[in-house]
Amino acid sequence: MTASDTKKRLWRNDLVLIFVLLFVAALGILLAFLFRQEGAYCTLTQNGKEIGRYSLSVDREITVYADAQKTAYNTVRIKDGGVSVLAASCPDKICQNSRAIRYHGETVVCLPHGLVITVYSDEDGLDIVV
Amino acid sequence: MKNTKKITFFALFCTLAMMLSYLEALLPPLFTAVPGIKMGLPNLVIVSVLYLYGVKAAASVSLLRLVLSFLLFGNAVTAAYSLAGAALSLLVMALVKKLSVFSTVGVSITGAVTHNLGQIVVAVFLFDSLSIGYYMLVLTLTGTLAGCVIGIAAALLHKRLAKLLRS
Repeated sequence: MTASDTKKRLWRNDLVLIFVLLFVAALGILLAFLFRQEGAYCTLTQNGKEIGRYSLSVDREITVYADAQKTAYNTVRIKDGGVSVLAASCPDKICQNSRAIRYHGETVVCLPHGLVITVYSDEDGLDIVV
Repeated sequence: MKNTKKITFFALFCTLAMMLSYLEALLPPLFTAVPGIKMGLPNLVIVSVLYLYGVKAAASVSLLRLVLSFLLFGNAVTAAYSLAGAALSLLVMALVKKLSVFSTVGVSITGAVTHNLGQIVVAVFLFDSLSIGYYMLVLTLTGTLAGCVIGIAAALLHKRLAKLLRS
């Protein structure tokens, strides 16, 4: 096999890789979109431990502190069936810039504070709503 | 003489990788709904070094870049994510390159996608939440596109640098 043949084969493999990855990702996104369910409640977890569970049908604001001095905070807002982070003291503000989430399985994450907000659809989790 | 040249070029590559990651952090996020979408500019240097000098050199540059970025602008949490992403990405790229099934573009794409995968896996474990894994779908899409662009650039860079380094 000549050098140019090898090059051609590698390019063809590259194209196959690109199309397979794009196809799998697009299919996954499409399926996730088609089978999404409206959320009923959300959980707040800090470093893997659940610290609160709130119904999405009641509008409210919750402030969560990530340190004992209460200087690192995230203010979580539940409004019109969606959850978002209204304000945060973290440096990157990724959580604050995330849009409100309202469907089952969606998350807003604040990496620096170890905070995860997850939306769930099933009502049975509501027993322990704070 | 040969050694001096090598050391100088390594230092240049490290600086370049570090500055590219800094530059990338300065860019506004492309799409705020999904955090973690980025061009992967430092991978341009890592892929080039991988092709010019091999795995060990690429690993050293990658590690030095992470340590320097961490010391200058980072915090411990983001360092853990970066390390997981960079390590997995480099490991897979080295393997894929060795198999020689893909060109620089394919190698760069596998690097980009596994970089995201490494970070997502760490996030899933740290937060003990599988739903974070959903991000991987969007990240695969954007990682493939970014990896493609970076791979083409790295191939061009490799071609020119190989000439320069041989002389």
